[in-house]
This record gives sequence, structure tokens and C-alpha cells, in this order.
Amino acid sequence: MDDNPVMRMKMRKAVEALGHTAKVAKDGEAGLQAMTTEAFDAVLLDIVMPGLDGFDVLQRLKSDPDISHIPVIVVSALDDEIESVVRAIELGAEDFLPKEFEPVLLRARLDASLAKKRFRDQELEYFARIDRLTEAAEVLESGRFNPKTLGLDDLASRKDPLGRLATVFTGIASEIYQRELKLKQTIDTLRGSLWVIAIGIVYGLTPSLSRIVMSDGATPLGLMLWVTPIIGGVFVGIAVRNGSFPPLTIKNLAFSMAWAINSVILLRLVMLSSSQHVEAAILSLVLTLQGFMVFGFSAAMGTDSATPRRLMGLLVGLFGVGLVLWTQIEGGSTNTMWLLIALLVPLILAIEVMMMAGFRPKGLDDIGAVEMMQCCALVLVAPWAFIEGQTFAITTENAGSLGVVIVLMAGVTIGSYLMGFHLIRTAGAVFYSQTAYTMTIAGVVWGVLILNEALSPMAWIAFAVIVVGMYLVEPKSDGKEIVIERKFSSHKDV
Amino acid sequence: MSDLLDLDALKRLLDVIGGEAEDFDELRDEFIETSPDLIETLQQAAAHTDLDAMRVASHSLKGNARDFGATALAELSAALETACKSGDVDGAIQLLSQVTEAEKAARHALLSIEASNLG
Repeated sequence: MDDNPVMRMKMRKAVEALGHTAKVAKDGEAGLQAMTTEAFDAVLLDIVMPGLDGFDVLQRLKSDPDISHIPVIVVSALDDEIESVVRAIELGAEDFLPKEFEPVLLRARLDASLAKKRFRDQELEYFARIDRLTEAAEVLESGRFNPKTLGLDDLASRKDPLGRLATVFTGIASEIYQRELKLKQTIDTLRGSLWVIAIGIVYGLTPSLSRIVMSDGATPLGLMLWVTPIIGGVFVGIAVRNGSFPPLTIKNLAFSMAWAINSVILLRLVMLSSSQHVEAAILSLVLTLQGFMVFGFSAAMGTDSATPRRLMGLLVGLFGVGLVLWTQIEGGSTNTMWLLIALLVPLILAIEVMMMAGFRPKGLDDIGAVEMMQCCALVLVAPWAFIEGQTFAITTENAGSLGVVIVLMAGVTIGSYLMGFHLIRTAGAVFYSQTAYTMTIAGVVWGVLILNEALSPMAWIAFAVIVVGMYLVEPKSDGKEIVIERKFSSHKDV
Repeated sequence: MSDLLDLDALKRLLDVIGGEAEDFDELRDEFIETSPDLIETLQQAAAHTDLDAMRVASHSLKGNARDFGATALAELSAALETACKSGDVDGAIQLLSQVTEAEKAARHALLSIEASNLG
């Protein structure tokens, strides 16, 4: 920085002759401005300047933390300015250079200042790395052990002591994170399993209720005409409470119609018809096939991962069902044709799971989807039931038996949907497919408790096989970051 | 060549800026071009008795004169700077006319100087 153009040109040429690059500023104001926008290694500063003189520039420069570390060499005529040089050095100038200098002197002064600057830069970088380690320690202290959150990978790759420290940090964090991840997965599995059991217990009532209702003289279409409005009504109620209704688009309607045909009409027809000929416990055992079918679809569509362990689990479950079917057909206790028709029930349920997971239109939420589907089912079933003459009334006489069972059937469907949506959302379709096993177990138990059905020892063995299959299928990870509650805090105790 | 200029100073200047004749000639032209501006500044400051502005301008002129070996101009400029610092208005005005003459002489002398003659 120099107000004298001849001196500026001389200094620039002298510095460039030594192999450096140089920028000139015609006064203190311009020089300070340049220093805030560009990076400089050293400053050659004239003292006598109009406006801001060299002392003013030094004072401003040293009070700005962003540039105060840049070394300043004061350029001064020695004859009558020695006091000025002393003052400049007191203000923070690194060195001085007489105006009439030899090239070697400029080189020596510049080299010394640049060496100091380099050392200072290294020091700053070192402090910055310590800051990053401190930040990482704070992240660890807040209970976040994901090594990616620490962001120390580049530091850890260095060979110096700080790099070693970063490696240790990352290593310990990674170890704890893996451990916590496993613990969380165990808890998730446990929680998911409880939902699986709850759904099984509720939905497992279906075969027994179907058998009871048919023996009470109900007709499949007439029954649907009673149950469907109850289910639809409840879901419309929930939608009203939530204030969200599904948009009436052709896509939504087409999906709801297909779903209604599959999961209301076909499912009820097959379930109710076969329940007249197949025992509730055997019907329940057949339901296990749903799990294998969902797994097959999911793996084929790539929506869930097909690990050997899961495959093994589902195959073990399938083997259990096969065992049951074999004892029934071999024993001749069940009509083989109705047993084969009953096999459609798990297929229909599997198609439903896959429809909901893979083909549901965007913008159609869980509640809205069931609401629209039940309405579609009612539109299809009502005229059919009247044409077929399958309608029946609930009177004071049959309200106690038929009426209660109808309400129970609707309740079972409502509960199964609500719990099923929650489970699919939190644990995935494959984990949900395990409900087929609990539905089976619960269905058999309900059959024994409500209908006094008896199962062969072989069928009980099949249960054990099915439970093993359930254990082998794990839920999918939800990928959320784990934050661990810390029991101690180093700085809060001080 | 002129007796007004110290050739050793000029050689040192050439050395300092890296020894390239082209650079030297450019710097010399800058001196020849800007020196009259400094004299102009001095005269205007003198008209307003602005001793501080005179001090800064004479300081620049002194430095340039020393670099280019204009010994007489350098000494007169240094004396002018000292007079300004001590607040000697009459002395400063008196010195200014001498400085003006010396600057003109030095500038003319420099016109005939080329880097190739210094080697």
C-alpha cells in the first residue's frame, strides 16, 4: 500500500522479481478493502500517506480478527523516520524495510514474514481440527453415535496425533452405534411381534364367526349387506373426525372397486361358503399360506429384501401348513374340494396386502382407502343380494345371536385394518405377513374354545413348526437415526 | 548522461526491480509522468498554506528522487519535508521554488537515461 505511483510500481516489480505475485493499493482504504476480499500472505505498508496513514491502517488491520494474522512489513525512509518505525512495530508490524533497499534485504524480510505466516496458518488449521474434534465430542455427548454424524472421516485418515484421536472417536462411536442399533432392532421386533399377536387374536375370530353365522341361517350376500355399512360407517366417521376425504378420481375409484371385489366380495364368499364345510381350526391353519404368498410377491417386486433367513422362515411355515393339509386329506375328515376352495382365502389376503403396498394410488390414505372400498362393496353387493333374494332381517329373536355376531365380524375387520395399517407402516409387508401365523394359531384356539373343535397331535406339531418360521422372519429396518439418552454429562457436573 | 544523476543509485534500482530494461524504462516513464503532478500538488498546497499536504508530497518526491539518484532534488525535497514538519511556512515556500527547478532538471536528465546504458 502506497499513495506514490512510482513507489507502488517499484515495489510491485521488486516483489515479482523474487517470484511472488503482488497486488498494489493506492491508499489505506483500498488496501484494507482488498484484504477482506482476497487472501494475502504479507503486506508492504507505506507510513506517510494522505487520508489513512500507515499507523491508521495498522490499527484497523490488527483489530480485524480475519486479517490480523497477516504479517505487515513497514516500508520507511530511515533518515528521519526511525521513531515512526518503532511506533509501527509497537502497533503490530512484523518488520521494516528501508525505502532504498538491496534485493537480498527484501528477499530476507519477505521470506521471514512468509515463514511466520505459514506457521500461523498451520496453527490455525490445527485449532480448526481441534474445534471439529470438540464439536464431534459434543455430538457424542448429546447421544448421537452415528459415525456419519461426527463427520470426522477426513481427519481420521491423517497420520498425526489428531488423526489418531479422530480414529478413536469414530471407532468408539461406531461400536456403540452398532450395539444400540441391534438393541433398537430387538425392541422393534418385540413391539412388532406384539402387534402381530394382537392382529392374529382379533382376525383369528373370523373363521369361527363365519362358521357360527352360517349355521345361524345367514346368507353370504345378506351378511355382507349388514357388515359392510357398519365398517364403512366407522371409517367415514374416522375420516370426518380427521377432516380428510379421499379425492373422487377415476384412479381412486378403480382401485377401490378392485379392492372391494377382492377383499370384501370374494373373501367373504369363499370364507363363508367354505366355513360351512371346513372346520374353523383347519381354515385357520390354511391361512398361514398368505405369508408365503406375500413374501413371494414382495421378493418378485423388490419391495422387501429376500434374505436366506427370511426365505427359510417362510418355507418352514409353509411346511407346517402342508403337514396340516396332508393329515386332513389323508384322514378323510374334510371334503377335499372345499379344502382346496379354502386355499383361495390366503391367496385373496395376500393379493390385498400387495395391492395396498404396491398399487395404491398416491393421495389415497389408509382410512380414505377403506372408506371408499367399503362404499364400492356396498354398491356392488346391495343389488346382487336383493336379486338373489339373500337379504334377511335382524329381529328381536335373532338379535342376540346373529346381531351380535354381525357386529363382532364388523369389529374384527375394523380392528384388523387399523392395526394392520400401523404394522405395515412401521415394520413392512413381510413382517406383517407373519400375522398369517398368529391368525392361524388364534383361529385354532378360538375354534377349540368357541366351537369345541379338536385337533390331531400332528396339527399341534405343525403349530410349533409355524412358530419357528415366524421367528426366522425379521422386520425391515426403519432407517431412523438413533438418539441415546445419556446418563452422564462431563460439563454439566462442573 | 548527466552529472545530476547518481548512476550507482540507478543501477541499484535496476537491480531491485529484477534487472529487466523494459521494467526500468517503464518505471522511469512513470517518474517522468507523475513528478510534475507532485510539483502541482505542492504548489496548490502552498497557495493554501497546507503544510501537511506539502509534507506528504515532498516525502513522495524525496523517495522517488533517491531511487532515481537525483541527489539534489532528494536533498531539497527532504529539506522541504523537514520545513513542513516544523511548521516553517516561509522556509517551505522558499524551498518550493528550488525544488521545482531541481525536479525539472532531474526529469530532463532522466529523459536521456535508458536501462541499456546502465549496464
